[in-house]
Amino acid sequence: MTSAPLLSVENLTVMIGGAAVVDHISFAVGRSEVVAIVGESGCGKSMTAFALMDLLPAAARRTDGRIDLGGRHLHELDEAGMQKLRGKEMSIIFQEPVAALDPLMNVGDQLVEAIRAHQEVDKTQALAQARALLETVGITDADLRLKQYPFELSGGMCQRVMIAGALAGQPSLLIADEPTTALDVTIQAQILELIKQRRAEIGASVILITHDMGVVADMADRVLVMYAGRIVEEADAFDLFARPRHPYTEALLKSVPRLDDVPGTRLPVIEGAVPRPGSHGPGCRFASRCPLVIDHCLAEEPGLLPVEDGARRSACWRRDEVGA
Amino acid sequence: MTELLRLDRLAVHFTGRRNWRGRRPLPVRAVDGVSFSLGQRETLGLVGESGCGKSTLGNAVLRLVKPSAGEIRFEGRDVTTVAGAELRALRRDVQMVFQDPYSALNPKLTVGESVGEPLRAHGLATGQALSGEIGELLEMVGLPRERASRYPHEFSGGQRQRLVIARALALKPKLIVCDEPVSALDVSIRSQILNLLMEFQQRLGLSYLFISHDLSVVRHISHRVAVMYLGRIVELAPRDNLFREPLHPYTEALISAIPLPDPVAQRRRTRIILKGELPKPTAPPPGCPFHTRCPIAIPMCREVVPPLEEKRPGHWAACHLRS
Repeated sequence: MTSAPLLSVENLTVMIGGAAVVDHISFAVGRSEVVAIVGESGCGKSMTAFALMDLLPAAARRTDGRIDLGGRHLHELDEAGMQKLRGKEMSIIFQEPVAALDPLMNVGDQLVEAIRAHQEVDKTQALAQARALLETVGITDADLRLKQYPFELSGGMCQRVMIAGALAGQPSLLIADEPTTALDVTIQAQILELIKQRRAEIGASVILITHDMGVVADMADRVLVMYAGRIVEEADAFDLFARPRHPYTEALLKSVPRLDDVPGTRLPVIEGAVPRPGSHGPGCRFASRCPLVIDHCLAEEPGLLPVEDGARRSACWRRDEVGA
Repeated sequence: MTELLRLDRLAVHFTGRRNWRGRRPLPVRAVDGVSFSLGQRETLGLVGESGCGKSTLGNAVLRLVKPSAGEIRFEGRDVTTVAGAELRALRRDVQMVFQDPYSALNPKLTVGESVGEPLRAHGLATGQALSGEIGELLEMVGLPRERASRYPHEFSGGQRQRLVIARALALKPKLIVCDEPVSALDVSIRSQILNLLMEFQQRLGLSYLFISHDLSVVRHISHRVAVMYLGRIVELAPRDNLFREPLHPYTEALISAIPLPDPVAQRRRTRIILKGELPKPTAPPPGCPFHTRCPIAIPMCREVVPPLEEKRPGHWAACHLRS
């Protein structure tokens, strides 16, 4: 990333009730870059995505933070301003593709609506575009699909339709929130290939939210690891897998059964559970589960600081010892 | 190995109700002629994609759905149609753990009541003895016995799955059907539950029918693995044989579709990406059920159903093209 990043986020904070579920996080996404956000349920990764799109649920509020997308200050925009950007500059696809589509509209009408939201075209032109879009996402019998309703389509097919709609406006940023978690593994492979191919064609940047380290290894250029509302590690994908620099990342990588491990052996576990938002002490939020914990970890929270040459960052007092 | 469970050409077909015009929907052949055996202290992994019939097969073994044809033998006895006292006796030996620990526990019962329910229902313990057993069961799964008086909402997903396992163990069963027992759990919790299941197999000599769509998990916990496609077993082999040398093109594609958590290996790998999706089980294709997506299909595959044959010792596959 030598030129200015496409997206830069500073001190983003999301509160639910009195607790910060996303707590002053800062990161950037370069042009055409694929950044993965990983972590377990409740670590704040989806809330980060919703905050970027300004689609937070009613109970959650963005209380702090600057969001710059291609020079625009999203944190200053009102709903009307955001609506102009959604679908055109930035799009999101969700985990449950069937639930994300309108059950009462056929596929054609939904795509036409998405297209006409940003382009001055009539319905016939929009429908022709919709048909072409379906073909770009590998749907061959487009004429039939345009007339069908979401319940008539499989999950994989609905996700293709979602991707078609999300990329209709050729956005510069696509946020994919667990895009394949609800899908079978052979369909997951198809959808990941599709995202890679379409991303390359329109040159979009991607924020990929997932808990699956395999998907990260397959797709990501750079990885942000989140824990209890904080980014605890940030690194190039190859560097991260070669040597994690935060004990949480290390534990996350070790605790999954792999196709190359020794079957039947005891799997390494992370004892305990993620602390509830707002219930952590003054120290590191991972301290209660950390194998490397020292007294200092309980007293003071480590900042997300550069490791070695500065190409990666880790929020751990013992960042230089992890994974050695 | 002593045989515990044997299925012989087991089938479960769902015919559905007549609609308002008096027409019956097309029957779904959810399980279509499945045969295998499961030994004592053995784990048989059952993998396949959604809709392949793996859960229905598990439910048939549990006698929660009625088999349409074929036979289920447990310890040599035909239990396909047993009822009444005989079925109750079978329930003591065959227990279950399902995917969603949130819906598996009654929110209005204390967790102690839930865990002790099988003992109470079978009239095996009451009063002091019952609370004692409940306490022991909780401790077995790593929960303090004092928490028996709490309600499910006070427990995390991983703890609830521990409670479900404790309940399954209450009757000292010989076989537990585990249907996606870790799929709803976070990765760090998953390994805790898998360790617990492996430990109980060692200690109590349990057998598992372990149903999952996650091949990495199945590989870790199973001794043998069966792969299902459209209601049939297309490959069945000892774990290492199946993963080292899959014989069925579907198994091969499944293994190659799992993204490896290693960017160097993952991006170097040639993957088989299957075209299309699972055909509708109401209208399965003629011939080999997999031929519509198979990268190596020949004309014969469209017409002749390949039988499940022992291609190598202990390694069964249903494919015309692999010998």
